[in-house]
Amino acid sequence: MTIHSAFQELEKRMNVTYAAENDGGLNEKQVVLQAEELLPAVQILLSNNVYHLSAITGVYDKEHLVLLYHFWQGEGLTLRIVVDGKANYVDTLTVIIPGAAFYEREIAEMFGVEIRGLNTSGKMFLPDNWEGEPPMRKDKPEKTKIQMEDE
Amino acid sequence: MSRITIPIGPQHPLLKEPLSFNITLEGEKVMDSALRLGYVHRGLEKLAESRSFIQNITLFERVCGICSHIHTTTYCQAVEGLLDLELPRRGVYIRMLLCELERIHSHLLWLGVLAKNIGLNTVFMYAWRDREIVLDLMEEISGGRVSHAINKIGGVRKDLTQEQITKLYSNLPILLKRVHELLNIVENDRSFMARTRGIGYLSKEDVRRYCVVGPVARASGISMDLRKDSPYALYDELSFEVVTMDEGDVWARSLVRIYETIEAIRLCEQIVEKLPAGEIAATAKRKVPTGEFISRSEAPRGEVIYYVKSDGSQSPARVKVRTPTLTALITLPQQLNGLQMADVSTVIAGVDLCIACADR
Repeated sequence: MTIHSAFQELEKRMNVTYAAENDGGLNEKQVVLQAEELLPAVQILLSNNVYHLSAITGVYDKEHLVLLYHFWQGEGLTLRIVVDGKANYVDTLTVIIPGAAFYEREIAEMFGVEIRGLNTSGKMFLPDNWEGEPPMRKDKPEKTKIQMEDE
Repeated sequence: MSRITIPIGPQHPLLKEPLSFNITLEGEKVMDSALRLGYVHRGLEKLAESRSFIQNITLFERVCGICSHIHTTTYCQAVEGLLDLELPRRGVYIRMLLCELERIHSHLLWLGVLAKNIGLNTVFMYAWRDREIVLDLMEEISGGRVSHAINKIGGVRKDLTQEQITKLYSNLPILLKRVHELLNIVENDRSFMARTRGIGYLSKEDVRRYCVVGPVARASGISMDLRKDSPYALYDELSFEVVTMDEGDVWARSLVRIYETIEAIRLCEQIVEKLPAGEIAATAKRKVPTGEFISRSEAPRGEVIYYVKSDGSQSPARVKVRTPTLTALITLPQQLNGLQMADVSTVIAGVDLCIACADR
């Protein structure tokens, strides 16, 4: 199985914080990594013929924002990337998986995470005149304000 | 030659859905295109966090106006996974029946839209006439033509009656005959082929790079169908073919969808034949335990994925939805480059977009 060999190689070669086949927390295999390890980890997945990125989810684990990269090849494998509260960035995957562009744009707009190397000029999902915090962000006070055109 | 930029959408007769396209032309040739979403962004993911697990079924029924049932199915699967709930077989079979009826309805609707965009209004009329058969069946079974509201956590709300089964038995063969007529047009009609062959080409490699799913991927030779690859519900008990083609153009996508419709009709017949007796729903506990669950299923347009996280309270802590249209949209600039302006509508219709799905 490609997912299985990719999982084993990730465990062996990467500086993995936590890896589990299925621990009851999530129903698929998962690997926890630091932000800077994302690109090398995805390279390992691609070399194991795991190329389908289903989605990127932004979610809060207690206070910390984590990004879940859901891969799939017959079965699922999730890379769990802890986004550092201070630096607040990850590298873009579009250089190796162009299909990640819209998922990353959504994460950038909804969670305010900087995706290094991704062209995020203009808005993709939010209104052009959106002012204020990214709407899915939970760790900042809410002062969202939308400027209507006729105001 | 000077370039001009033509905006298509968010309101445009060519594109029924609110998507904005800026197409840069040199003469009649498309040189570049840029798109923007967000015109029907309803913030459903955020909204889900303030509603209970049960209220969210109603919410996710409204992600899409065409494939509403698959969204509630995928969401319910995730919550049932968190609850570790065993579903009664009859309930799952009725769910699958609606899924397949919805696939027929979605593909026939799409064929109508494509035919209309390329100027074959007769095919549009025929496809939508035949779609009425399946809409009537769904209304008969669930009470709704498009929003069925038949799923609940633990199974389905309504049982199939003997009358409905008789109606399915008498109407499915008529539908099959009609779809074969449509197949004949798509496969052999010279004007249909002239407008669709070689247009909107995507190679196998492109499909992989862009993580495309569903009929668009299958028309480029990638055999990916979650019903077969990682069977959810009880699809492993049914037999069907995954249709693939190698051409990778709009014509191949049309054929893949029509053959899939035929497979879906066969699946419906199998489901009705094999329909087990018994309960239609299990009793679900109100309190959803802490945990995370990823649920995937094969919508008419391809893989749908729901991620549900529960923190033990009565609302989910996070629900993430990724719909198949988002994967198809990203390939459009590549498909359009170098085409004639007149082919733009064919390509846009060919990938079967659902913008409300992509925006959420």
